[in-house]
Amino acid sequence: MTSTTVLLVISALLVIILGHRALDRTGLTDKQALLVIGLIWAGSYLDIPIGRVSVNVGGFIIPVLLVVFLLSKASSGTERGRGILSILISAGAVYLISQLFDFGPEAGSYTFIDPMYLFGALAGVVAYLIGRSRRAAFIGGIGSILLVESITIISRQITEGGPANLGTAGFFTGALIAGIVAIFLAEIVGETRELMQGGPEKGDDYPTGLKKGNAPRDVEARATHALRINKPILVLEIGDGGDVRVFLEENAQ
Amino acid sequence: MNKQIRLLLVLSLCTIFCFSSPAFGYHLDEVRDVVDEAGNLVTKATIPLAEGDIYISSDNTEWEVIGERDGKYIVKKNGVIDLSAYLKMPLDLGIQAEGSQPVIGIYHTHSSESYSPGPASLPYPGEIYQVGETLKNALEKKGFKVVWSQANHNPHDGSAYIRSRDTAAKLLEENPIAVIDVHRDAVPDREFYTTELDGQSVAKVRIVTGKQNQNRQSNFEFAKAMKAKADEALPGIMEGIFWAKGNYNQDLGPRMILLEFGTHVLTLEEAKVAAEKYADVIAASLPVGGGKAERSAAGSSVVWVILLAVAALGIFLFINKKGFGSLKNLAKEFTHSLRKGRRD
Repeated sequence: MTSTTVLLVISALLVIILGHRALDRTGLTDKQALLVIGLIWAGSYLDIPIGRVSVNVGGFIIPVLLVVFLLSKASSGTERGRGILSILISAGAVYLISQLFDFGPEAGSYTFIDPMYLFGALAGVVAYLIGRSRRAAFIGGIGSILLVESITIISRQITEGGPANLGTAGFFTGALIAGIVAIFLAEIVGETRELMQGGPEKGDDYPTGLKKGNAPRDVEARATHALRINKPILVLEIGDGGDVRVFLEENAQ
Repeated sequence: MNKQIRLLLVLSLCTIFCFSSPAFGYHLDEVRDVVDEAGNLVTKATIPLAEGDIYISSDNTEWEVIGERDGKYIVKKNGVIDLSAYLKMPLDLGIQAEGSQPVIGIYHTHSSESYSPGPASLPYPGEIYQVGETLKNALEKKGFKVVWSQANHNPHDGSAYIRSRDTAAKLLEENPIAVIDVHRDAVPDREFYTTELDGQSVAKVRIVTGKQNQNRQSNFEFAKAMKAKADEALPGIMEGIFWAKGNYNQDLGPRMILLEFGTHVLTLEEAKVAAEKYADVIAASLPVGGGKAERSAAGSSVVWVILLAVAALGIFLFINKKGFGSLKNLAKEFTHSLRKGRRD
């Protein structure tokens, strides 16, 4: 096996693993995440010509449907509103940066980071701060670039015309890379913030099932697994009978 | 986190992004000298350079940007690189047989770039497309199949590479041995960017390779091969090679290259003559059938990808405060569940 083949296999595995982990953070089930990856992969071979614009199924239509699906899955109107707001504000930030800077080699190319990663990071952080979740960061990362690019290409087709491609890079299209960068950055920001804060905030909407002392002690005695994160410690117990208990233990060691 | 803190964070983040980049406040005609530590002129740049950027000048001296002084960039000499090995590269182009015709892709990220005496930027299609077409015709005469994308990526803003990325990836579906993004530079100095070949005034060519991608080594090798061949066949045509921060879609594959044919104060004719002549250099620098440069570069990319994956795993474990011991636990849980599954 040549180095190139090894590289291709590793790259393909990384795409599947990274893509799957990113989609996992958005709340999709394992099967749904694999289905989305499969659809993006299969759809990347399919272009739909709209006027002189080649619109790719895997790199544009599936990501748009994914964003709509994730927004529709929001648990409340507030969460959905935050998701839409995070797309709009992230799109505004991406547009602003792209107007201020030119990342080409003739001007500003020798800047600190490539726009593809910068926009993903920017949209991810902005969307995370507004939407306050990994899912919002992902939706904002993908949605903002899809929105900016669609508006730019539509307005340009009206004024100038000429052939154009939208999403034809499939898995490697700018919006999807930005979504993956966004979600992993949100993961780092979120985890770090929660680590510094010492656990989730306790408010009136704090789930009673997670409050200290709500787990039966007999389960603790029979538990085979315990996942301990931060302090107060969130304990996950799986009893021999397969029953699962989650509770907070402030004094646990 | 309350609302005010969140708002403050968003605003400060936007401010940091707006003002931290050296690209801020760039103007087309702002050219800056790049000088060595003694103050001697090395090259000119319209671009904000960053520390660590590498420039290989026409005499094969490798310079590294170390800072800025009095509005000039300071570079230090890393030494003279020997490109003679690239001249010995076997040139088995293998393009005679029908069906095995190697493919080259051409596209233009900056769709409005144009030359003198007209405006530097024109609405789509800019004059740069004529340079691309000249290069396409010249390469076809050499026996290559050229896929030339006339896609429009306007406006010329910070998202142009996001848009042209889709075009570059589409060109890769044709299995090209090289993909060239054809540009013109913005150094407002005719003399600096022209040379004379066979009594004709010709635009110089600058190669730009990006550092922020896993193919940087193979693209840099390709750039050095072109520089070596050009020095031999068309002495004086090379302005140099920039190995700089950025990506320029070069992560999509090996031998994805960006060429600057002259600059906006030159005439279109001078750029077209350069493109016509430079086709020989491109043809002579392609190791059709897999050259040594590609294999060694792919090998080092494998190492990098593995190192990155390990680093990412380490960060993940650190953030989750799990430590590497948890890997053992994971393995234990996995074998436990397998055994359990077998018992069931």
